[in-house]
Amino acid sequence: MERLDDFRWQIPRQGGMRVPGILYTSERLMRSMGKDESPKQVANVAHLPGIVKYSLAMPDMHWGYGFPIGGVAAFDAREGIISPGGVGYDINCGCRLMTTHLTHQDIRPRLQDLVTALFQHVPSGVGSTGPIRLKEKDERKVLTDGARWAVEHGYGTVEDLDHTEEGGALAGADPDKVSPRAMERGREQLGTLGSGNHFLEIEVVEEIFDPAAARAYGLEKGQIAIMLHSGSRGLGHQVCDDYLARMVKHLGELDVELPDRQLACAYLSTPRGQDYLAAMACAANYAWANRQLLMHWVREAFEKTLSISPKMLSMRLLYDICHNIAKIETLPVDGKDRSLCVHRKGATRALPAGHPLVPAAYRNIGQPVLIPGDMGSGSYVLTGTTKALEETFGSSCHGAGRVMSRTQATKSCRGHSITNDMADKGVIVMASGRGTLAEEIPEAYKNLDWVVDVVHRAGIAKKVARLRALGCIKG
Amino acid sequence: MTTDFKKIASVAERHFSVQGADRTDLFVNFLREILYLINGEGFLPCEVHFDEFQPGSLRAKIRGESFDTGKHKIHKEIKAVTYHQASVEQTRKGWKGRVICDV
Repeated sequence: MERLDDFRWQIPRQGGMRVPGILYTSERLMRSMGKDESPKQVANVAHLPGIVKYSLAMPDMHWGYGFPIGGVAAFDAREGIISPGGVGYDINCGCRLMTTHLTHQDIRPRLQDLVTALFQHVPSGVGSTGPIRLKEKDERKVLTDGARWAVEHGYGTVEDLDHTEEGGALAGADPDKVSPRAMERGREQLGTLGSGNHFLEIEVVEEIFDPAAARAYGLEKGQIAIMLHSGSRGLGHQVCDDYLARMVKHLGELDVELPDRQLACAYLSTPRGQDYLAAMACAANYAWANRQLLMHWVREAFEKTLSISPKMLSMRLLYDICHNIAKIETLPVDGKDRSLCVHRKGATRALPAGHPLVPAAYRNIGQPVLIPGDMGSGSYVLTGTTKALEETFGSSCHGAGRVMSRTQATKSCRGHSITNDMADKGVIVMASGRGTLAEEIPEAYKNLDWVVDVVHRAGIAKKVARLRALGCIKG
Repeated sequence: MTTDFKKIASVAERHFSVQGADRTDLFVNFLREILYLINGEGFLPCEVHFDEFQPGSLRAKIRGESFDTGKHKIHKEIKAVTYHQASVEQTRKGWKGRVICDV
């Protein structure tokens, strides 16, 4: 690997690589990665047809199935491919940050009650089902309309849609491309948080780095906000699984030697590529509807527990961003706009001020970039930059990124109470399963400050505010 | 497995056939079907019988029972069976398969 500057390392083109690989990282993060194979995976992605400029990895990169987590790769929309493995199993896994008019002072004595209320009000955990029972006709509407379906059914407001990436619905979603199995799995799980690394966190704004941007985003010190992390549940997993199998089956037609079957893909110009794009959009829309519903129940839980009016709570959606997705976007490449299929697997979009896709209220500032940390360490809000648009296909990192596998994490915390450890740090945690808690201990993740420091100093997103965790619900 | 194997009774039956381009593909596809029985149909398997077993296809009979919240506890959710570094090889003792699951 060659070092390009303070925050970029290059994997030179070799063997079947069509472009080089570039890692955004720092010396201390490189050291903490140990034997993690993600750089090799960055190089593997560079083998895929139609890849433009370079295969990228963000500082939260870690080993994934086929594609690394924290990977960004753009493919020419006419000549390139689309890969289910480049999106991941949890299609449109993403984050939603909601602000309130409450201050830390206001809720301090009621924090335990709020955490309990959220735990009871928001379905979570392995195999959880939601209170919504969809008929097939309705489910198809969810898949085409996304968050708008939820708003039209009384869950939230039109303003929420303005503050959601893609307005909460990707175009081109075709439910006929979603298998009966995926439809079946989606029917009962709409409006559930899920398990694993998904969470709901009550946070307080602790530090403001950019006062003008914070003002535009409606953030001020001491304010209470809620971070939500969830995705497309079993429906998304099944869509990925179905299409991956289809593409593996037809690998021979691709005429390219792939280093790993999990990189299986199809040309965007083929029916198989188009079908996956249409099915993936359905799963993405399901995830947006899901997060919109969850937000509604969060709002209800706060209002009921604190016996306050919606106006007093004033819960508004700051932004909803996805971090597992492939999208057709028009982006500048060496000064010229090109239509690209951008895969972001554990990476977020990060558009600068003035970009037409940034919500009107934030257009002078830039698109909010939401970066949740590991359990109990809080989150960052950043803003997209022109440099990201020019260098990283308008992308930035998505979180802290694992350094310990789930099994290692579970082993390392045998014999002590994670709930107590978190309480010592001032964070109330409630989880459906003890197993999940052990897998999600802070030690299992990279240092969030280090990760954010890289994107900030490399200029691909700028720090706006840091939030500290007060209470956390895990699935 | 994601649950206590001993608590699954052999009271119901499911059948399926799968194909694969090669042994590895067949192995992954077989496990994908098993996972769908669990995640999609809420059916917990405890016995597998093969009615037919060829290098590129198989027909399986799976015995087990439906998931019962009062009886079965799910410890860990397996999201998917991946193709990542999957392999099947012949050893002196028989066949050895390796597969990585997304959890």
